[in-house]
Amino acid sequence: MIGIVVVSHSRPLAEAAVALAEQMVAAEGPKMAIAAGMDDGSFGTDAAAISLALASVDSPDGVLVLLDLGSALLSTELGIEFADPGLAERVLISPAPLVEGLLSAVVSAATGASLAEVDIEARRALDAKIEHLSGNGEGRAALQVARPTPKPRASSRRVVWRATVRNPHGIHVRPAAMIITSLRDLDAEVTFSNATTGKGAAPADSLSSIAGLEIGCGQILEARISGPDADAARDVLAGLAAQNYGEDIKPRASRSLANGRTAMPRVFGETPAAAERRAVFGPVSRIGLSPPVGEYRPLTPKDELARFNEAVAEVDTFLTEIISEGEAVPGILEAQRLMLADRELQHGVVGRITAGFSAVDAVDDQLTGMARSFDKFSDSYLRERAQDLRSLRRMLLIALLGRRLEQETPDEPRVWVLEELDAATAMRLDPRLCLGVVTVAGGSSGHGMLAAQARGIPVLAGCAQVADVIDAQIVAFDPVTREFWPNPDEKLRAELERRNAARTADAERARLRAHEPAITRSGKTIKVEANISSIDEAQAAARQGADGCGVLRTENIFAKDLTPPDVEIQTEVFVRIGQALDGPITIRTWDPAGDKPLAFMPNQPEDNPALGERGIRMMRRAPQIFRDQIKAALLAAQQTEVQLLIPMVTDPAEFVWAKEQIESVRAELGTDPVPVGVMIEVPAAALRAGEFADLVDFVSIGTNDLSQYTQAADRTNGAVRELARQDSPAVLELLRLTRAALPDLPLAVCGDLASDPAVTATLVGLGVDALSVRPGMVAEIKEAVRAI
Amino acid sequence: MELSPQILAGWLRAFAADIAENEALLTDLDRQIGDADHGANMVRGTTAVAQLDPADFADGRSYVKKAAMTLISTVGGASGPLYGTLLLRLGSALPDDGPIDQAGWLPALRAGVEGVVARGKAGPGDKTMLDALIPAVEAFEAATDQPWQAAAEAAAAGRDATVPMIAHKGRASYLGERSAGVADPGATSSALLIEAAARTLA
Repeated sequence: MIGIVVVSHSRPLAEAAVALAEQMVAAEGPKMAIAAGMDDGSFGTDAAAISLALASVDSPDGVLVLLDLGSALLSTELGIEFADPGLAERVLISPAPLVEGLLSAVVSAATGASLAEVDIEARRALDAKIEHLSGNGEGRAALQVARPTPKPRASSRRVVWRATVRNPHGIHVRPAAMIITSLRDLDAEVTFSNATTGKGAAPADSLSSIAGLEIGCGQILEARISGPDADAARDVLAGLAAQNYGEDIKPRASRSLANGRTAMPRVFGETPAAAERRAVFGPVSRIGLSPPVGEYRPLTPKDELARFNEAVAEVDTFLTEIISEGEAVPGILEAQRLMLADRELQHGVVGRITAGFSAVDAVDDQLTGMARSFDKFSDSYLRERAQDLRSLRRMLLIALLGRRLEQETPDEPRVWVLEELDAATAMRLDPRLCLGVVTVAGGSSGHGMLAAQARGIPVLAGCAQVADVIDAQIVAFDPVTREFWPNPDEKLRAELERRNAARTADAERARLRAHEPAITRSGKTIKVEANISSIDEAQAAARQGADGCGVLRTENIFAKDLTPPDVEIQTEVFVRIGQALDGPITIRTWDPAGDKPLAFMPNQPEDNPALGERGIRMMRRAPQIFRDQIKAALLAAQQTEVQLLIPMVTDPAEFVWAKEQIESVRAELGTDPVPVGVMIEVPAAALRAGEFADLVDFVSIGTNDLSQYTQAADRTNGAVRELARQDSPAVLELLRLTRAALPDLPLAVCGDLASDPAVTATLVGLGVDALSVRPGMVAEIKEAVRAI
Repeated sequence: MELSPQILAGWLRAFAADIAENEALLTDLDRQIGDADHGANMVRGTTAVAQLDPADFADGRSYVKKAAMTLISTVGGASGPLYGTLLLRLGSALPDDGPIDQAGWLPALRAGVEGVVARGKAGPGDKTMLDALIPAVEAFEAATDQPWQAAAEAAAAGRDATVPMIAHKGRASYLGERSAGVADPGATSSALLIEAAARTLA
């Protein structure tokens, strides 16, 4: 049996190619050796290493060398010269493409073929691909995803275009969809890459590939364009960039102030989350949960291609109908439609069908694989797009099984059980027909989840138990306690009705006493403040009876501004929020982070943004932006009661620096000092709380990040949600330590923990003086305090 | 001039210093018509060569061969096998250590450059290192006085002559006509090699 040597510039590339090829042969394959990359890990080829590799797989039958590009050939020729003359005569260098050629060569060699025969097989390795793409195959004709065949380009132009991306989420699916649609009709070949990270290139007709470049805010999108319409394509791209690829990222705060009303995002409405907090009892309807693919009877590849084609058309029509109903957020469904026409998706499925898969298996395999690759993205927004792909997979399978996509919707009130809640489904939820939603998988931050909750539908996400329930089975769940009962009895039903009645009564009572102070039975007054991200929220919190604002999330208010907001605008926003609440406001200084970036101050791409340059760490790099905010806060303090809160402090020295900046701005303005507090959200700061005693005027515990850093668990990740609980013993212990180290300072808790009425007693017991909660929860938390 | 490992090390160390000094230039030229790695690759290779101790070698031939193998194993790009072949063939054709003159050097230089022709399958006018090396050897042979000086001047002129040429070999050939207007990075580093020889071997 011949030996095989793989020569490549990259060792991982060569190793992966060999691993792939080894899968092709069952027991005994040819001996293979790798000569790839340089010793220091850089790219390159080394003739001496090639010579050694040749010797290691030498046999009387000869050795075939497969190689990648450029110097690989020169180095191999030199390496053969170095080899023993007898060996050199038995070596052949294959002109075949590395991956395809290697696979063919390994398969052929394993049959005991001669060196010459293996060489011929390797050379033929591209034939299948060439034939498939040549446009003559039946499969292509049937599919109608034909791409224009490359034309000879006499007047071909090559253009390179670059632009810095300003979209807060970068070039995610929607901007990518916009790019593809706009370039579609031009006779130009365009590839994109991320010039900042070097990722790429991606073809201009693959949505997943372009989104997969993970071009974040502040990074540079690069296009390489050739073809007769190259200049037109560049102009189109420049126009798209000028409109931020169809996304509205214009600064809003200043504009809305001018006309007296705010257009800031409204996260919490006037009504507290009463409807979505209902416990639910009722019969199940399994929606799109693993369609019964066992029923499918595959036909010939040609028929399977036709069926796939029909299914694509059907799903496309279905999505178009939802969009035309006008209710949905069209961008997401448009992106799903484009994904349906995505070249990677289409070619992957067609390739599998051509290789003998049934249409169902091909769709299942290809879309599941693509969704998995989205799961691996570091950007959480892109990760969520995996949901869209799984949703497409489900829809295609349903269509292939000959079922109407519409049949999915039950016609009587049911508890909907889904694999996960995607946007398309959530937007079609009718509260009259959907008692509640239970999902098998999925975290709590997806679009679908938020859309359902916004419609007042109770949701229980990530409930593995529900996978086994059957249609029409009676189940029950409580979205507040996160309990699930697969076979509830009438007794439980009565219990849940009591819970719902009590919750309604609590909400009602709370509303009546909302504007009274929250005093425990033992007579301690607890300030219940609101976490505020907009003027709207400040007004909602005021209606709920908030005793002020415990955290003003300034980075959320001005997140979309492309330039730092000037001092006057910031001052005006602070004053208006203070006046709306008619109470003290705690202005948290800019706290940008990977998941809440400031458009005017993008975070650098980091491998681990949660542990990177955020909060006060970032301010030390941009002291003027920090000082302008301080200035606005001090000016606002002349009209409304203000205190300052410094986020993401790890070391007391960081707080000292912040205080120095504040004092120097104050001295310049000649205004009165304001209280300055530290946010304890890093375990290091909690453990060293005592060192802040003489530096700070008050302390606020940010339990969201404190839990994440203490438990090493991301609360938006369904797989570790239980670990990320904010009331874990370790987090409560850090709270206790902070209180013990700083017995005389006002201590507040902000973060989601404070909004949970079930732990209010615990927090008050630990000596907390103030709770800063979601605006909609103020009245209820006040009631919880009164019950202590 | 006495041929010895020391005198040859003086040459290649001077070459290494010139490469290091011109890394940015080489990278920039290669960035315009290639893949921007020539500067870094050559610095990596020649730095490794400069670290060889000539005292470890029995004669000039064995030093040059070791230098060639070092380049082959450290440069990484196409320059590795090309410069490696140049020095391997040149080393093999060197006479024994001792006095060496123009007639003693000429076969070695020819052998080296012929090695590059055979390895790279390029010829004059293809916008490669040969456009500096071939004129250099011709000038060395033709010179009646100061052959190294003549070779260095011819190499520099050859390098400059690559500016309007269109590449036919290597990465630059993908650019076709757009490769014109920039000096070839390989010819530029080759001219440095001959210029270093003129300073240290003459």
